[in-house]
Amino acid sequence: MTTPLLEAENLTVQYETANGMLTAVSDASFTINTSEYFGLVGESGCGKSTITKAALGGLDDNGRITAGKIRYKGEEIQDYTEKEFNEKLRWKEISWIPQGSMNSLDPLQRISEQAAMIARVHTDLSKDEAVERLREMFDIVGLPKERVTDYPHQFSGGMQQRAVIALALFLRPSLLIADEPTTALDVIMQDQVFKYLNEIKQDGEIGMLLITHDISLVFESCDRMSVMHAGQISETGTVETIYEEPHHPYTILLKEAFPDLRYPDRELGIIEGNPPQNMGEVDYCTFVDRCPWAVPECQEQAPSLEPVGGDEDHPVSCFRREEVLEEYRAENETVAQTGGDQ
Amino acid sequence: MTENAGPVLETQNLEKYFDQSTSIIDTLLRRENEKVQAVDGVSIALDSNESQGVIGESGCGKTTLLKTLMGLYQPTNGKILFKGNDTAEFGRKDWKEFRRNVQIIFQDPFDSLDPKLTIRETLEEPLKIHNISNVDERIVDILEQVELNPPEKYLDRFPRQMSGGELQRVSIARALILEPEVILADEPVSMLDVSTQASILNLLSELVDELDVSMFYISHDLSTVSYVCDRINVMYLGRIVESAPTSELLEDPQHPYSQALIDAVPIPDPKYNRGYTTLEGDVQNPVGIGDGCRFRDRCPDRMDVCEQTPKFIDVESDDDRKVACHLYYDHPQHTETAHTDEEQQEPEVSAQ
Repeated sequence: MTTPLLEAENLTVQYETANGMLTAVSDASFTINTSEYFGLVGESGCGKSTITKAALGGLDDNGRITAGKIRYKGEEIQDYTEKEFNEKLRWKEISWIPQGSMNSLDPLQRISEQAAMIARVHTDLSKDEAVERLREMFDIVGLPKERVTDYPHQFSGGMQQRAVIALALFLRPSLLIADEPTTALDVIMQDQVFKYLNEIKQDGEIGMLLITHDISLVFESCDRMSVMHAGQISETGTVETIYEEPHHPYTILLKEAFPDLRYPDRELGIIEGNPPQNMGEVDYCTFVDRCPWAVPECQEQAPSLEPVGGDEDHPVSCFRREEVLEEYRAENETVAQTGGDQ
Repeated sequence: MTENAGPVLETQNLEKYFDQSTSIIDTLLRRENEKVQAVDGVSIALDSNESQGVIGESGCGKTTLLKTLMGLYQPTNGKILFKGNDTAEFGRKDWKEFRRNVQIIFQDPFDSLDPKLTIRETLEEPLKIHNISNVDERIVDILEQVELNPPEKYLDRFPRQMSGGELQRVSIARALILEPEVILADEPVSMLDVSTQASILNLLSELVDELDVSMFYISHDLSTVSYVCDRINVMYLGRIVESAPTSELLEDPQHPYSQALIDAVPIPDPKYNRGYTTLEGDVQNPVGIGDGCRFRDRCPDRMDVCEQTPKFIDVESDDDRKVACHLYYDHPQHTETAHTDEEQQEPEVSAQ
């Protein structure tokens, strides 16, 4: 088996707060393969951004990885120092498109200057080489090449977002982490950005970790995905598997809650309650209070990610993973027959 | 005010222009800056018990439209009619009556509730202002209606003790407690998570059906609007470019912009091959943009005639729909620009 590009193994991340240790990510495991687009979906506060920060050594001062491992191309990186992250990984191996990219460009520097600085810190490219590469990237993301010397304010929001993508790509990293890359954009602009991300994918040279709350973006643009709820990974699989055979109660309900433009008359599913705040060790399923299929066991210990139906590529963290989907379908049979057919 | 059987709330050719900031040099040279044409000739009519959506991208003027409807901005031109009465002629008493009957739900529940008032106080305030009795009873009723059960549990809470979904329910309760005739909702679910969003959307659409209330629902997100609204108006740069019943708009959009907007919405199905947008560029700034179709610079079907402002005409074969696009009518050497809906003519090309 080939080495995965990025691998998280039983990862736990905690933040130190005035009320004790807050567990943002609990026992999370997933792998991203080379040149694969991988989506991580969950509600706000579920720990998805924390995972990306942990992978880049960018956790806030009060946060740290308290257990588990992160491997990049087989090498453990969870104990890397700031210097190691800078020399080995950031920008040239793993680059990051942050949430709200408009605010992540330096307003006082031309884009080309920013690129030159990144290249100087992380590689031994000359300034001209760096700018030339940025020009190529501008072309790929659909911006006019000659505008590399513009200042950020000369671009519109969507163009700034694409400029950030160009910066994230120009050192040819193997992994692109995109944290809600289009949340601040309008739908047409969002579509333009994903059009370019999809074109870049065709070259097969880069993998992406896409963090979003929008499950339809993941379904459209990713190969595999994980669903997260309050720090725990609920389910992982190919997008087709998750779409057709979701086995975790949260995945099932999340899918039903999502509006689909094709069926405006369909009743939207509702997930009761709110995700909990996890303090200290998480020894329960974090979805238990919202789950219609919960059993006492769910309160007593945390379910681990186990293959469902013997499929190693489809792990689900639910004690009742083999029966919930069937129960759900039986309950909703009448609905499905009368129009919710998908 | 007099009663009348027509639309509850109606705008006729409504315009709202803003001045740009003028520097001292401009003032000295008596230079007039061009106006920002935020809302530019909008005519819509909301019938009782109807819910209409206005969708468009950020900057298209939808929030300005809402604020002008609410009376927070003075219209530059055009009329707002509430039950057939022109709001420009309203006196103090009429305005008070208007504000009781037209309520608003804001986008961000964290920002639009007073952090120092308990939920009871928040809901009490409008009742006091309008001298309505049986306050406690009404508050409990309305909390039950927005499904905050049991109401007693929430009455003495402060906004900081509640989640976003619960707060948005309080906002809805605050809007409904005066039993208004019209609700104006400005992106009420865009700050919420998907699981909460679904419950708020369901609640809104139930309440609109149950209670005697009409709603204008403003959003950039077509997929949520379509769950709540009977009719959708598509807005682009200050103008309504298309207006149609929800299902008809989604199935068969006429205006090239509506088509692009609908095509760009992601579909939660990995097998559905939607294809990406072919539209390039960005929305213009609505500053001094003069005449002509607002969408022409980005439009795949652009023609010479698009330099003229298209009429907002009925769609052939369906008088329930309107579209402002030159593709849909003949142009016998006419030059005038108009927003009026004159008699319909044959469409010369059918789009796609």
